[in-house]
Amino acid sequence: MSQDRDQPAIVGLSPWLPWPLSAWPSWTTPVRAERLAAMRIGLAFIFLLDICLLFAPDTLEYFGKNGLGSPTVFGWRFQAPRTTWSLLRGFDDGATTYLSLSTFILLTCWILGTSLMRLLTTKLNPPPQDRTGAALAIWTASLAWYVGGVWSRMFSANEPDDWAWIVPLIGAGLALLFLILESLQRWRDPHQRIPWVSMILATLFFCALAGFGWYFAWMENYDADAWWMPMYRSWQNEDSLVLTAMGLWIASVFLLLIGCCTRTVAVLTWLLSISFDNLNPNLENAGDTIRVTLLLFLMLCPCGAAWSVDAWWAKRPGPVYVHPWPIRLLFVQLIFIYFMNGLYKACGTTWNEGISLHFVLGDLVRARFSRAWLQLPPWLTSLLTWSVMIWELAFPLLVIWKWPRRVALFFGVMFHLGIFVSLEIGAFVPYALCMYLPLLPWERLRRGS
Amino acid sequence: MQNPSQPGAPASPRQVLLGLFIIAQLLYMLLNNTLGFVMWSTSHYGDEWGPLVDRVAPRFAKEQGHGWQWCDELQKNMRRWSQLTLQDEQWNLFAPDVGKGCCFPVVLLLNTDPGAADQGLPDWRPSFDARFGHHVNFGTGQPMDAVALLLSENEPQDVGAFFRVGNSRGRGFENDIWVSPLCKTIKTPGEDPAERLETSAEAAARLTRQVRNLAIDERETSLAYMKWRLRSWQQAHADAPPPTQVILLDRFYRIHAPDEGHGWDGPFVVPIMRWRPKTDQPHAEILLESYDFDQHRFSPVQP
Repeated sequence: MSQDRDQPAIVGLSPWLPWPLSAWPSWTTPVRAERLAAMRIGLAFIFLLDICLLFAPDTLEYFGKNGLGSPTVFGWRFQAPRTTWSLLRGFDDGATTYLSLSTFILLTCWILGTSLMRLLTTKLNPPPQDRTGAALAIWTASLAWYVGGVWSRMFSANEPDDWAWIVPLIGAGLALLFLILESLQRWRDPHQRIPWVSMILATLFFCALAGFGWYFAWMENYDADAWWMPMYRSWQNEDSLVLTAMGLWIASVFLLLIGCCTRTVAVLTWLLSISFDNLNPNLENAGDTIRVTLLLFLMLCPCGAAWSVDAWWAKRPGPVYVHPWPIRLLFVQLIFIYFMNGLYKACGTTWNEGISLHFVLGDLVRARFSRAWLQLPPWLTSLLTWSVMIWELAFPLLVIWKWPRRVALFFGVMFHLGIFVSLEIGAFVPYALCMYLPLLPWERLRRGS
Repeated sequence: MQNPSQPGAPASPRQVLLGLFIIAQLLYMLLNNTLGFVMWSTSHYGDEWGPLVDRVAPRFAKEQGHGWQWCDELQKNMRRWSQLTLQDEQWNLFAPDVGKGCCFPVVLLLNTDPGAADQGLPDWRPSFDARFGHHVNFGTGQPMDAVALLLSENEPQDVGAFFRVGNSRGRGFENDIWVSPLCKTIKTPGEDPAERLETSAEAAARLTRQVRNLAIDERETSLAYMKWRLRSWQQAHADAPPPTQVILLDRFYRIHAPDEGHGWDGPFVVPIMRWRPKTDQPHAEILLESYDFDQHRFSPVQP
């Protein structure tokens, strides 16, 4: 898309919103892209430190086959009807097999539905063409994973299946059908763009898989020691695969930090984060929940529209704006975090008595330093205890007006910094502070704006 | 300002999908948090508020009836979204109450004959205190017949002087395994003068039950932890014979109440469970034994 010089540009998809959100300027007025970029950079920076310092040095101890998160320890979390999943459990895992099948079915309906709709409404003021190709890429990946799941059961039972080629062949047929529908649209609307390369590649890919399936179907038995066999078992059982995944995780977070292929690496980072986090949930705390939530929003929004390699490559001359929905959603999340914490605290005895902070600071498991070094008087710990509870409970009200909102947010930053100084609970505080980053006017840093 | 969407054109399927995601996410945050709190508070404060709640929502406080069942079903469905996206909308950090004690796991390696040890552990002096419950007194050091007493790396050597940076992940793992049931039972002196303190027999029965449940519920994590500590020790002591017993203990400290001045009581050591490592034993056949505070011996726990 070409722009006039210094003409502001809006990047990203404008969501369809029902009333009252559609009439609410906070949800509809675009904001500067630097705000999302600041959150992306802040989160990725903390995340990179978190992985490199707290996860990577003990990768095999935490996630390996004999480690604290070995497949037997938390295997129950992946049983039906739970929807917990991890790519690192390999193709053989039931949860990922069914999730990939569900994704494949949903996306097949989506691609067919949108193609048919466009075909039928070509002359009837159709919606804008905003296709990115993501659906086809995810469709291909999900079907490929499902094929891997089907084959892994065939390999583990060592019973060749005569129909091992049928699923990939269906995939090839569907990819061809998508191509035909696209061609029909082109026939009705000459301005229609056809993603020839990706569609032909998808077709060829599944044809090749069908060929492999045909080969596997005719084998008499499978060599359990073949070099490719570990790929079809839990990847946790292979140290090299766990370490490779860890390397990939670090690389994806680094690319997210610099904003290179931002959307793709945000998705990869999210996939790997959930995959690792689910293998050993005992390593996690509330900061990791915040991190995963932030990643979920980042991968759905144009967080690489500013301060990124992608933005440098796009060379947009004027200021760049994005739709504000991720920032608003995060703010709502922030309100729920504080208010619900306040509500639970209000039900507790120690918070109402004003003694919680006294015990928290004396907790030898979490305290950063010995309580003997900083003996706060009981009246002060009581005051701090009550002020935290009241601030959390009042947070939804305080953020309605401008100045109380600023005071509440300033108190929030101080509260988190206080936790960071007094408690050693990993990256919880930096992750929580990342939620404040898009609230700051980062665009003022830009020269001339 | 340039916008890629065409004015006047209907929303595209992607725009509608994104909008639906935003609405769904807002509803998810609202419902999951609200329902979670309502159901939790009903379970915890049903005795106090039950009659009032039941007038508004029949049989809700008894965790029955349409209202409760509908909420429960809704929660279950939202839990699937939580599991899928790893968004745990249950925000009750350090709430509703904070612990008045803190615990660290300890692994004790013994080379004594497990059969003889069944009748009690030599050099262990079980004690009972109405305030602190049952614990084991090692005297000033480790038991005489111990190969090694592996304290947690997270336990400060001097509780009066320590500064901590890093290892929050490992500490989180230890903290999530087992310790809270014992910590929560510690009594602060004079906390509730009207409350009758447990007798030795009552405390023994309660602790035996708690530890047994712990050995069942946290079998895999506890076993993984013991194996991990043992493996680390064996790597550092390659020439040492393998221990015949690996015993998981809990060292807990009671934090002084504000009116007691700063400080801690403890550490009090509580035996939790035992694993007798055998070579080439399939994982599923490994038997854990939980401590019986009445008999002062370990007894097998069937997974």
